[in-house]
Amino acid sequence: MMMSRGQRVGMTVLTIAVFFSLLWVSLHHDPHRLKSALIGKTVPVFQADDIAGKPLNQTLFYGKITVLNVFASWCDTCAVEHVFWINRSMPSDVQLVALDYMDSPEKAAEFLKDHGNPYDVVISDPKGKLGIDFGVYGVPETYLIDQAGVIRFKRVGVVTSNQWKQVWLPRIRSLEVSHAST
Amino acid sequence: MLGEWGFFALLMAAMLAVFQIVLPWCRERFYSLTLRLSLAQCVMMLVSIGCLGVAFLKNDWTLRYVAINANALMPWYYRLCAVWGAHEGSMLLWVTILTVWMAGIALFSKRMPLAMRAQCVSVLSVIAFGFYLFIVFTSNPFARLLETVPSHGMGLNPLLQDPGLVSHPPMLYTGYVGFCVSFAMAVVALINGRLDASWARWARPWTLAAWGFLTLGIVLGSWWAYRELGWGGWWFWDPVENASFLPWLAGTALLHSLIVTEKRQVSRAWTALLALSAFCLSLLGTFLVRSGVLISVHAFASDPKRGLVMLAFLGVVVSASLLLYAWRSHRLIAQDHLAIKSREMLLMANNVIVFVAMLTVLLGTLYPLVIDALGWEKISVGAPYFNTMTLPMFLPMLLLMGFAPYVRWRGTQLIVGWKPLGVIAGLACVSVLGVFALLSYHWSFLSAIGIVFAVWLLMTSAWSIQLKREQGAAPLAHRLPMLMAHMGVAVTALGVIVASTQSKESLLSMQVGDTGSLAGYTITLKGFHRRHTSNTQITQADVALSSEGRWIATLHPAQNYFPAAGMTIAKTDMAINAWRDVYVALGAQQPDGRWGVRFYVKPLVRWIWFGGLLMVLAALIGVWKQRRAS
Amino acid sequence: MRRLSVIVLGVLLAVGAYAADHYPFKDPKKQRQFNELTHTFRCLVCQNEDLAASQATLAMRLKDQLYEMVNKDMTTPQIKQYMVHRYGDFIMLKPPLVPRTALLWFLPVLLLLVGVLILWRMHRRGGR
Repeated sequence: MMMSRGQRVGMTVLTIAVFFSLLWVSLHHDPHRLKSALIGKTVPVFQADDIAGKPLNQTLFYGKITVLNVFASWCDTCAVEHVFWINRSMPSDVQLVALDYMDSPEKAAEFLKDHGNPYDVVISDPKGKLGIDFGVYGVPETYLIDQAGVIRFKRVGVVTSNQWKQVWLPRIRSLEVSHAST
Repeated sequence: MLGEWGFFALLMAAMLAVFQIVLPWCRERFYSLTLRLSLAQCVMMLVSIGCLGVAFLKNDWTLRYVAINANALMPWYYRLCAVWGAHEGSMLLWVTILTVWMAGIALFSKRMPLAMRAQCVSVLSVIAFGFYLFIVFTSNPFARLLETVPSHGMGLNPLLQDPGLVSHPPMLYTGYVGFCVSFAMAVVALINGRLDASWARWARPWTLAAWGFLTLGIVLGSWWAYRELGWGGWWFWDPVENASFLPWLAGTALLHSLIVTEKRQVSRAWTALLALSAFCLSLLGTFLVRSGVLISVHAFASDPKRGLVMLAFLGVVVSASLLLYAWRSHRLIAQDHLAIKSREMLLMANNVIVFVAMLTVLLGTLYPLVIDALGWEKISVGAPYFNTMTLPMFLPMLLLMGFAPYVRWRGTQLIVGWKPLGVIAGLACVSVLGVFALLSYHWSFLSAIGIVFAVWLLMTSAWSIQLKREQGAAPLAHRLPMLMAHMGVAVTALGVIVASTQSKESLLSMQVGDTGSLAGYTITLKGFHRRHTSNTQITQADVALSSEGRWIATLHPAQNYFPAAGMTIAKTDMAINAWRDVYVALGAQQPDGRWGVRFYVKPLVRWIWFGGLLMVLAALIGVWKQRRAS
Repeated sequence: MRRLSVIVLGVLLAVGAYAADHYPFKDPKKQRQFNELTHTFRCLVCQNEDLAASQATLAMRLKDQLYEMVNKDMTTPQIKQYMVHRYGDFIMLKPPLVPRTALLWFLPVLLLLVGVLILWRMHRRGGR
């Protein structure tokens, strides 16, 4: 309006630069990839059974670092990921817990018999109720929970060997260190 | 051979474009040559896309694009339309339509100086050339499948195998690509430093034509979604829908602004900015839809490399045009005085409302992207946001539009006194009571206001038909497009308000012999038929629709299974009359053998599209009249 | 309450004269609350659909959850809080009014005011 030509050009350049850098950054983001809303919160209070029928509750997550893997016997990608869990042994202070999501305990037991059972505990969640409390929206998903039962990290999709080394192990290490120092 | 011919034609067009870019700026005697070359470029592109079409018809599986998007079992017309069913082909269509508009400038618009026409064609050739590069290097529909040649292609997504695909994308593209003409004229006017009333006069018919096509494209898309998706919805504020709505809003503002600039020399620079924005929004929309940055049911398969190239191209065009504008426009808004009760003021008020609405929709569409890019917790911006924000803008707009036939240029008195207008306002209020008495489902203050304003607009526009020249009105022939378009808006508004607030829905679980009731209508599931077409297995239900014991129709909602794609699509069926749709969709069969059935009664929903068609007709008449006036 | 609904459903099925809804409510206010809620939340695994329209497994599971919560007499704000706690702001189709969305909610109104202001100045300005 009352700006000089130089000012107008300058403002235009600035606006365009901001706008396009935002668009450029967004090209590298996946709009479907959601970060968990529960990071930093404690695990939900719950009552459930394992696939053998033994009762469990949230105290399962206290005292040890937990890697919680959400899977189901009907999920093909989980079967692919399962090979990784079979071959990967956890550090001694880490427990590998499974959440059998929207699946029947019998089918899960059969799956684990056929493909091997790498899990310390398998929680059965046939109606998906516990899954909702964890904010699960698909399978497979994997959570990292610390010794106090606080959710620290969530990964949607298959966990691979590379990812384990680059993303998971460092986080587990830092949890071990910070716990040891308390 | 077809693939090679098509590709060769594309390269020829690109070469012609280069000549057209350069020639008009070299010597004056090249002007007519440039125009003739633009015709040649158009012909080349028609040949190119024609080759692709024939390749589909002949099931040429050696072309990767054909192999992915068609199979031999598809009916020939869907195979032909698969040309624009996916990214590469739709890009080819986009640029072909650009060359058609360019050829239009060469052939028509004889009153525009030759120099200007040639320069416009040159500007458009720059854009076309960018697209040619993009297609050749990243999105080539003529690429050969050098691995194993399949014996019968994969096929088009079953959702796309619908009459909607035949009509919606071509009309939509013709519309928003059509804003390229006013874009080019604005750029040329800015380059030559001549932003006077004449460019506005030449731009008007072109803008009106583009706007008409875009309106038609949007109407067809909405109607297609309503029939196809099975949930009775007709507008979802989906990012891809917004991508077509944004240029429409900018185009509406542009149309009105052009009128002011032509008659009053007011806001010349602002009109130019609108012309630049409308086409830039079309390009932005094209980018957003294909880049994978937004979540949408319509999105094409995305590829980050393509997204980057598109973004760069978009950046160059937008930057260049906006910088040109910042450099050349001396004053954003002219220093003229606007009287309150004047036509200029009303038109500028339209501009404010429509432009702010456009910015709002843009903001809502891009905001999740921005939040994510900045690394903050993601949000989603859905229909509730857009409805909440745009409704309070469109309602006052309806009210103001009612005054349009009664104001004069430069202000002074309204053509009629306040008394007749007051009577109409009263009648409008009474009509609300009528609507609620008839339908009386969900009373809300906002919907009441909306109906009053929409009826007000309808009545004031209709009543103004009888205004005579002596009273100060323009001849009816001149006013007719405006009146039709405004009445179209009122009809659409009524359809939107009533269908949104007064519809009833019911989700049922039925087996043969069951009945369901809704809003005085009863459906009875009578039985099932199974049949098949060349690529579909159809399970069709026979549903008897009756009201108060009287049989109305037998509806046939179906579940269509496409073996090639492994997908099942629910097909809806409706009983239609001018006042309501009774809409029935067949859902999936449940484990207990019962079928899910969705049953809707939607009053006045057809008015939404009927109003849109009125607007398209108005544009048609307007373009024809403006051509004759020259 | 759940058992009662199941019994009602069973009775309706037994009679067979009228088809039963997927999510039947005896109280029409609860029915309206449920219907509104299904239009409030986004289906997280879909391409831009609300829970009402989506047939995805997660959407059906969340609708079951909504059904339970409405029958347990939870209020709409409580239910929204429940969902956002587990899935984040992204599950709401209407963005929350928080600092990072301030621009989203207030800019349109501001722009409108600016536009009106400009029009006012054009009216005031200029000789006559």
